[in-house]
Formats: sequence, structure tokens, C-alpha cells
Amino acid sequence: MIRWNRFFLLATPLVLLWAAGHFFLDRGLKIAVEQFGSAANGARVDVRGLTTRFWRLSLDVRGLAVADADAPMTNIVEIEAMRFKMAPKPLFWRRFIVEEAAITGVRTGTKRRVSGALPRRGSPAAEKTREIADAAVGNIKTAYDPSRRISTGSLTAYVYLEEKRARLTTLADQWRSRADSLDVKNLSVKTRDFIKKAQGDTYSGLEGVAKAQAHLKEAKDLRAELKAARNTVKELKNSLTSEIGQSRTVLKEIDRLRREDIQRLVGDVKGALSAEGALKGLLGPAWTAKLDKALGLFEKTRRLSGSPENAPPPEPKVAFPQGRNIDFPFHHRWPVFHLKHAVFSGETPDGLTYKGEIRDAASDPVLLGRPAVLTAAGSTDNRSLDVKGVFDFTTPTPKQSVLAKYAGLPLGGLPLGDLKGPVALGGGTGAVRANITVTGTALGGRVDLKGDGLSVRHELPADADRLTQSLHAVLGRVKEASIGVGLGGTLKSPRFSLNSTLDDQLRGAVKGALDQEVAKLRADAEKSVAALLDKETDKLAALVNERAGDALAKIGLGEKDLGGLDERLEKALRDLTGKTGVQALPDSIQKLFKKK
Amino acid sequence: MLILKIFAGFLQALNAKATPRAIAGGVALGALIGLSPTGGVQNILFLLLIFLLPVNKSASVVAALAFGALTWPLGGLFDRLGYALLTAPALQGLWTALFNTPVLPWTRFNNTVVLGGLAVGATLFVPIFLSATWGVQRYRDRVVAVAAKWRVFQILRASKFYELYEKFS
Repeated sequence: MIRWNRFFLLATPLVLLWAAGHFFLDRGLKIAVEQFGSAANGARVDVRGLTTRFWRLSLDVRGLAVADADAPMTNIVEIEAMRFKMAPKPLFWRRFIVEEAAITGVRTGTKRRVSGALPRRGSPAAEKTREIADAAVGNIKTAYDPSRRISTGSLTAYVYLEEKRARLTTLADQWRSRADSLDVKNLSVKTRDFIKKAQGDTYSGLEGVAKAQAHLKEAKDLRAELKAARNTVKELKNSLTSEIGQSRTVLKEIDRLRREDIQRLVGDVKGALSAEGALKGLLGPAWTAKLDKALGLFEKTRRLSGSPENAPPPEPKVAFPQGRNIDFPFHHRWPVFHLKHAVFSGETPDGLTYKGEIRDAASDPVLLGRPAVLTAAGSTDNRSLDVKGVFDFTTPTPKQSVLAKYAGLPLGGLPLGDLKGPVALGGGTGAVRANITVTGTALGGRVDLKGDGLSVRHELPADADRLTQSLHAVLGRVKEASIGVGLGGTLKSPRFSLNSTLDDQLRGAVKGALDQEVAKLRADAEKSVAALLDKETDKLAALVNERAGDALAKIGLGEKDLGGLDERLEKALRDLTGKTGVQALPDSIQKLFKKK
Repeated sequence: MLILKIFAGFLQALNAKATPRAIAGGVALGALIGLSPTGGVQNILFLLLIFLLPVNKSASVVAALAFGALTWPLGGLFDRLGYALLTAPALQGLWTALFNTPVLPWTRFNNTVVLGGLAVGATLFVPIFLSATWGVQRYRDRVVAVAAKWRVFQILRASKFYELYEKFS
């Protein structure tokens, strides 16, 4: 049944397939590495050449250059050659085990001839790094400048005023309308007219009794009306007095918050003008950003290792057509990817050559049961480098540690921070010792830098204040320094603590100039706060006072109108009963004349 | 152009050129390929079978395209079916054995969509084959035989268009 002649038909596409693989596979892989690498890196990844050898199961990559997304004319890393040799047997089970790898000519921070920026690339990561660095170090320049720190949004007094302004304005308007609605004038006139009429009238005979009865009834109604009016005036007065009191408390609170705002501003800037603040300013955001970037590498290794702690939550629904892969017990301890051993060699930007090795980098460290280890060492002339990193993801709580020592680090030309003018190191050598550990997400350890034979360059601005001049003088005398950065917090929100031998020298410089600067700053801050707040507060206070005065005056008039009318009405009634004879009146009317 | 040629070849085979069983075989094997959208080495095996067995290649391509289009709306179903099969307690021994057998992991059978598609394809293989055989026979008896007598069809066969169709097929 099988048509053997169809083998020829089959052979043709197979030969074509082989030819395509032979001639185009390497090119396709090169393009794939460049495209996927660029997408992952956020900047260009270039490969000069790539060769696969099917029967030897090896892959050679030549001239790999990974551009720095934050500095596109620089490569983060450039590798001259890489060779990977795969183990054949695991491939039958779709496992990629690299038995040996050799990576040579590793260099970092090399210049590029063409920009490595990708088209339409925003740099949110770089922006974020900068933001974190700024927040972490509290650049002295920003802290010092009141005009940058004081805004309507940053003043709690202004925010509070904005919150209360609408309510107070509405209340003040209501006081006027409520006081206007109070009308006791008519009642007062009506009562006076009645008293006049009752006292002037004569009551004789039965007709007189009837008239007296009518007047007594009218008197009863007037008395009730007077009572109600008096209650209304009393309630309104109480309520307005309470509201006016509350409004004046709000005005007082604004004033209190304003004083607090100024205190806080002065306190912040005092901190920045302290020795530690000056040191932070001296180191600058750029160095904190570098440290932050280095910490980001820890997180990257976690993601690549598939650490359970950092694994994304399982998707509720699978996205077609990828589907879900379900693993079953496997009799070999082979992760999907495992780099058993790799040797590498390279050169630091300042020409120190080193060699190192990587062991057991795997996609499933738990299955492998061993941590990944990186070691590197090298020395040239009076410089030496020693690094050991252990990345252990074999337990539920991942542990990473890096111990690095670099002696003889040339510091000349190293840019530092900004003390109202750029600061850089003119010369000197340094020794760095970093011991960083990450357990779970908790960060710990120290980075110590000791500099010898230093010279610090500080560009002093023409309009430099006394503090900056003092700091400039101190920096000019610095010949050696030790700076320690303590690490704490978590990978996502690291905390840095600084201590340095520079502190004492800076403290001396700061002490003399600090009081004068703080006084000037307080005046500046008060002026800025007043410019923002005074006009608004005065306007509100004037409104409250004016409306409150009007309303209370109106109520006062009302009270005055009603004052004494009760007694006069009662006297008129007593006179009326005297003239007409109480006995002649019904009991119900007689009761009106009894004093309560 | 290639697609046109394949379609023309399929129509010609459907009308008279190939046996109903050859067309049905091509359709059934093409369906197996079409229902495995994410690939795997099993598709190479199916391709080999198409070349080695006396089945119609054009029918295979057309069926692969048609069933491939069906997998998009049915992807979720494949996923659920594959998941149910891969997690069925009774089948754990089988999957573990297959997972540990060389080469078989390259089929990606442990992927829910691949296994779901393969299971649907394998289940429908015989029904597709039988219904395609029956369908081709019915088509030839009911449509081709009757249409051949139509004057319009005879005019069409004598036209340039038919020449073009013959050229492509």
C-alpha cells in the first residue's frame, strides 16, 4: 500500500529544509537573539555572528554588545566570544543542559559607535531610578530652595484653608439671610399700639365688659406671639454665636498650621544643612541611583530563576493558543535549562583583567538542589578584584549574597553630587568592599569606600552663600575619606544610611554658617508662606467678621425692640381689669391677671 | 497563487480525479494537523503519512486550513479538555511514563491545548474519514452528475475560465 516512489517526493522538501537550516538557521537565530534581547533589555542588543554546529551540539556567538538603556552610546556589557556546548542525552527529553561554556573578552561600559536607543523608547525605568535617588538622598539644593519647596499643595495651612473656605463662606452668607429673616418690628409696633389703645379706652356698662373681654383676648394672643418671638431671637442668637465661634476657631487653626508649616520647612532644610545632609548632597543622586541599579540586579536574577516568591500569580484563564504546560514526575534531575559550568574572562573599564566562573545557573534551582555560584578574581599592577556571589533559590526563602572587594580603584574624574555647584574627584585611589545579602526580600549589608590621595573639585558659584563657601573650603582640604553606606529595608524600598569621616570636617564648616543660613531661610520661608496664605486668610477673616457683626447687630436690634414690652403689656392689662372690675370677667380671663 | 492552485487541485480531485477514500484520508490527516495549532513533532509525522499514504495532498492542505481556522473559536474547549485529561487521576501513570520517554516530550503532549486538539483530532479521525467518503460520493452522485447535464455547465466547460482552472489544477 505504501508508495515508495513518494519517498522522492518527501526527500525534496526534506533536502530543502536541510538547506534552509544550513544556510539560514544561524542568521535566523542571530536575528531572534537580537530582537528578543533588545525587547527584554529596552535598548539594542547586537550580535556580530552566530554559528550552530548540529553534530557537535554547540553554539558560538561572536561580538555580543548589550546597550545601556539609560546611556545609549554606552554598552552595559560587550562580549567578544561565547561558546556553549550542549549535553546530547537531555535533548531527547527537551531539556537544554549546557555542559560547558566559555565566555571571553567581557568588558563593561564600552563606547558604542551608533546609538543603542530603540525607536520610540521612553525611559520610565531611568526616570523612576532618578526619582528614587532624589527622594533617597534629599539633594541639598532642592532642600535649600524655599521657592521650590513651598507651594500651595505642600502647605498644610493652605490645604486646610481650601477645605474650610467653601463651608465658611456659605455659613457667613447664611448668617446674613437668617438675621434678615428675623422681623420683630411689626410685633413691637403692634404691641405698643395695643397698650396705647387699652390704656386710653373707657369701659362702662355691659358694652365696656364686652370690649374689655375683646381686649383681654387680644392681649393673650399678643403675649403668646411675644413669647414665640423672644424664643426665636434667643435660638438664633445662640446658634449664630456658636457658629461664629467655630469659624474663628478655624481661622486660629489656619494660623497654627501656618506656624507649623514654617517650622517643618526650616527643620527639613536644617537637616539638609547638617553634616549628613551635606554628605548626601556631596554624593549626589547619581550614586544612590547606581546603588539602586545594582540592587535591581538581585531582583532580575530572582525573576530569571523563577523564584517562587517572585513568581507571578497563576492566570485564572489560559490565553489561547499557548495553553498550560503541566509537568509530571521526571526521573532525571534535569531542569529545562541548566548551565553547568561556564568560565569567563574580561577587563574592567579601567583596564583590570579578571577571570571567573559560573556554576549551576538553572531554570529550576529547587529541582537541581544547588545554588548558582559566581566567582571572579583578577589583578593588574596595584589593583585587585575579588567577587563571590551565591544565588540560592533552592529553599522557599531565597538567599542571595555578594561579597566584592576592589582595591586600587582610580577615582580621578569621578563625578559626585551637587553642593550649589558640581562636585567631582580630581584624583586619588579607592578601595571598595561590598557585602550585600538579600534574604527573602529583606536587604542587608554594607558598602564601604576608602579613598586615599584624594583631591576634590568643587565649582564655586559666584553668588555662593556663606555655607557653600565654608563647604568649598573644607572640600579643598580633603585628602582621604571613608564613606560607608549601610543597606536595609527591602529590595523594592531600600533604605540607605550614610556615615563618613567627612562628617566631622563638614560639621565644623556647617556649624558657623548654619545659624545665619537658617535665619535667612526662615525669613524666606515666612515670606513665601505669607505670599501664598495671608491674602486668602485675611479675606476669609474679613468675611467672617463682617457677616458675624452684621448678623449680631441685627439680632441685638430685635432684642432691643422686644425688650420691656412684656412688662408694659402686663401693666396695661392690670389697668384694664382695675377699670372694668375683675369679678365682671369670666374665670378664664381672671387667671390672666394672676402673677405666676 | 499556490493557494489557488491547491484549491483548484482539490476541486478537480473532488470532481473526479481522486477516489473518495483518498480525498477522505487527506481530509482526516489534514484535520489532525489543523487541530494542533501550536505544533509539535507529531505534525511532522502526520506530514510524512500524507506523503507516504495514497491520500490526496490538496485535500489535506484544505482540511488543515479549514480545521486550523476552527481551532480559534474552539481553543478554550481544547484547553479545558486537555487539562481534564492531563489531571485525570487514572491517567497520571500514563502521562508520567510518556513524560519520561525520550522524544515524546517534543510532542508537547503535556500542553493542555496540544493534547486537547490532538484528542479531538484523534476522536474525530474515523468519523471525519467516513463522513468525507460518504460526502464525496454523494457530491459526485447528486451534484457533479446532475450539473454535468446542465447547459450552463457545458458552456462553462467550453470557456476560457475552465481552461484557466485546468491550468491551475
